[in-house]
Amino acid sequence: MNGHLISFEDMKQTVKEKLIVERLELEDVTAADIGDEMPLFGEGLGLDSVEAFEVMVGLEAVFGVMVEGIPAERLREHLTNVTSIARFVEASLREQADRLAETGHP
Amino acid sequence: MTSRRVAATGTASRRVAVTGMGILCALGETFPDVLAGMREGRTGIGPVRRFPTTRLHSGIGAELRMEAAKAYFTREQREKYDLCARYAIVAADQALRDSGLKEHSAKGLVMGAALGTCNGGILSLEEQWTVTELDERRTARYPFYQQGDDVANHLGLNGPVTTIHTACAASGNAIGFAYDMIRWGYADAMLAGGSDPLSHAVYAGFNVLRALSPVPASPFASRLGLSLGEGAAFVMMEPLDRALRRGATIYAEICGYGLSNDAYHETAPDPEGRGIQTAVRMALRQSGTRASQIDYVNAHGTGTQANDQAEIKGLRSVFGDRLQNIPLSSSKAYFGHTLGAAAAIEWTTSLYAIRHGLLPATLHYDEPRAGCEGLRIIANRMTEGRPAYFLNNNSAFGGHNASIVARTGPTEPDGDPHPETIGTGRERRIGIVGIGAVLGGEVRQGSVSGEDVSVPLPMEEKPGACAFSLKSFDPGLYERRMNRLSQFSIGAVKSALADAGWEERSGMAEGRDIGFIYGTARGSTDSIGKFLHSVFENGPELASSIYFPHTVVNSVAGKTAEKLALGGFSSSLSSGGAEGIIAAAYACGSIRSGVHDRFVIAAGEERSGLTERIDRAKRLTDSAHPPLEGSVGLALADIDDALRAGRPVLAELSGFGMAYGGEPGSPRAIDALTRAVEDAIAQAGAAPERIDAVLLDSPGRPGESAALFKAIRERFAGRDMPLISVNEQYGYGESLSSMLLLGIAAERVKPGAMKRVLAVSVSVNGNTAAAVVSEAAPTSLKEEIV
Repeated sequence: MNGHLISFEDMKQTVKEKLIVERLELEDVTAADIGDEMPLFGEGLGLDSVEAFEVMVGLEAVFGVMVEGIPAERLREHLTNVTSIARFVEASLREQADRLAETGHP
Repeated sequence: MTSRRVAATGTASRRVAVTGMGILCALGETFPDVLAGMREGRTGIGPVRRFPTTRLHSGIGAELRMEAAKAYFTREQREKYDLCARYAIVAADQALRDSGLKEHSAKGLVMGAALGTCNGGILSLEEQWTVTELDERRTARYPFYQQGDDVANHLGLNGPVTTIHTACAASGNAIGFAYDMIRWGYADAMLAGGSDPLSHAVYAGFNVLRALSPVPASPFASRLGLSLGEGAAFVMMEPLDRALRRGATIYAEICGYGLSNDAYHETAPDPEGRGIQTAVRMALRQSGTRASQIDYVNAHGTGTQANDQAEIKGLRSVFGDRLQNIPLSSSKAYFGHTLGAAAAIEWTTSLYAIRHGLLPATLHYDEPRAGCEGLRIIANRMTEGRPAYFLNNNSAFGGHNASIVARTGPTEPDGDPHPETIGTGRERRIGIVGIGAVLGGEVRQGSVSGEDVSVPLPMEEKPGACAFSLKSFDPGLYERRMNRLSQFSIGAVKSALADAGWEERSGMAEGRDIGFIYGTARGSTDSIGKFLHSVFENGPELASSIYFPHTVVNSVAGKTAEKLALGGFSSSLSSGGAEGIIAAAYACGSIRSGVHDRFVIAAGEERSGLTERIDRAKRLTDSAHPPLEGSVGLALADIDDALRAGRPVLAELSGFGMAYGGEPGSPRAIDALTRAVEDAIAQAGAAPERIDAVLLDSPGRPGESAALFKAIRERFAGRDMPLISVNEQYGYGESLSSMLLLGIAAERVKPGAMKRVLAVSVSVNGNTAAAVVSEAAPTSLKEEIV
């Protein structure tokens, strides 16, 4: 998936559908139930710490964002809500694309 | 030679000694080598060579050099056993030789084994790197119970055999179980320990939870994270009086142990350390040791923030300010976290070091982390010490904790050094006071058979399949992605508690007074399959964090304990088809020993794609009986207590026998059957002619049931009595049908029907357990009858 070709709205929708509902196998929750600014962890959607790690893995599996080098605590700051995740994905993909353009290596 | 006697009361306060030890770990494969490494302050943690770690957060672990394990086995044996069993066999054989009992085993000594493991034969699936195209040869090595059974087969053991799978507390529990088997007279000697080889998939699981430290772990110190390790360790345990008589080396006397469940979360420990506190207090109480007598603590200390803080909180709540004066260390910086083997490796190496006047250190220690200040951590270098009593702690995913009190001071041959030891009261009769079952699509309370005994399941369903949904039954207990086995088990245990009238009282404070022993041969194979699939298909760096916590089989017992607030004594075990009776014997003995007055025991199995492949590997596809899934729970309590409280008692569990037979149908297997039956009848104090019927539970592969019936008939000299296979009616599901068997037996002995029924379970590998289930009557009346 190329982050540059999809709109921010589409990105948020993909976060909801692929990264949250499908990846976490949420049974009674659909993408429509998740607000852009709804807190994901603890309150709001009520995800827990084990699920946070699944979302981190999902960033790579769904969007191709490499998160291995980023400490969990820093990463977690980006996982507040759908908007913050989408912003993080967008920035990360842009950064990766720039690096690729500079060096020829991802 | 044998001095064994199955205690009629189960309260025999026999003292138990450790007389042999064996080890395989990253620091060495003999105790002198390991101690030499510890003296030098060497760590076994180094670069992982077994599998690539380039895309993971850490690339280090404590691997074996594998010299002993390689040379020990023939090629054929290497093909036959998973690496988990191979490590275990090498360490157990070392302990056996070290004890000097090897020569005795031919002389009628009853010797069993308890193996603790976190991941069982997972490497046998990993080798195939698939969960859908599994072969039979390697898959047959995978099940958890197979590891303990392979130890028993290889060493020719004939006593009680079980595999305890309470993850990182497993070998601590195994040592405790073995101690009980000797105290209660079920065995003359027991090999107990743990084994776990380093697994790529498990490494990937810890990696995705970001629990791995990139540098060698430093428990309680400033750097967070753990290092994985591998290995095995075993001890030989036997009655102290015999050990002294034969002049054996006595490494320690095991004085008591405690188990508990945090009943909090599948991976995170209770931050207040309440589960650890319960286990430590239980160990102290059972051993008759005061907290002030403990002069060394070998802590679990994994190095993660969550574990180390919670553990210290739990210890502080027991020892108070005195904790700051007790030498304390975690051995995980030497050996890595060896998971199911951790307790055994850390306990044996501590015993060996103490024998040499030294205490293990915590390597890589710089300064205390938050919550771990003000402790007397033995930092970086071993110190001198000869503690009279030492405490060993371990905690696990699934919330299980194990704590052992060992006496390492000079042994006093006479007298009881533990005058506070409990369990010296009257002979207690234990009965079934509640039944809960989830079978077919329904929940049953008070009976396992349902309304119509002859029609166990609706015709349109797959025979033996369970359509139960916890979400419909009790939505408050359900949580997302909960595997079916956890749902079945929570449903069954909740119903058993309700039937016993305990449910309203099982809030957390009360729940710490109810023991819980769970049996499952396979655990949630659906969750395990999903996790392994994520590793094999997506790559280890993209392992599924949400399924990883359920790869440990005890996660089912842990989730049940969490949802039903069962925070007391807690164990989970596998035997491949005798779990029901083994759990019952374990619970009855524990009640008589004064652990808790009330226990709930349960067992369950779940069908999945992976179970079908295991069935094929174990030839269960040839069984005459359909596969059975679901769960059965039984509430157990003192009969007189229950009757006094005006509660009905469904049946008495009056005697047990456990014996390992191996190869079903072999002379050894028939001998095991005979011994299990005789022990059960002897403990029940009933003459064989007073047995009214025999109920048999066995896998039902061609010829199996017929051979067992023939042997039982011979045992009863051709007496005309009903011999019934429960599997013909209900189907077969290893642990589940073994527990169901006890429920069915209880229903048969209702007043006006039969008085005494013999229930026999024979496992997939010929592990045999028997129980006498009798009509319940108050003690005074009972004495007149017998």
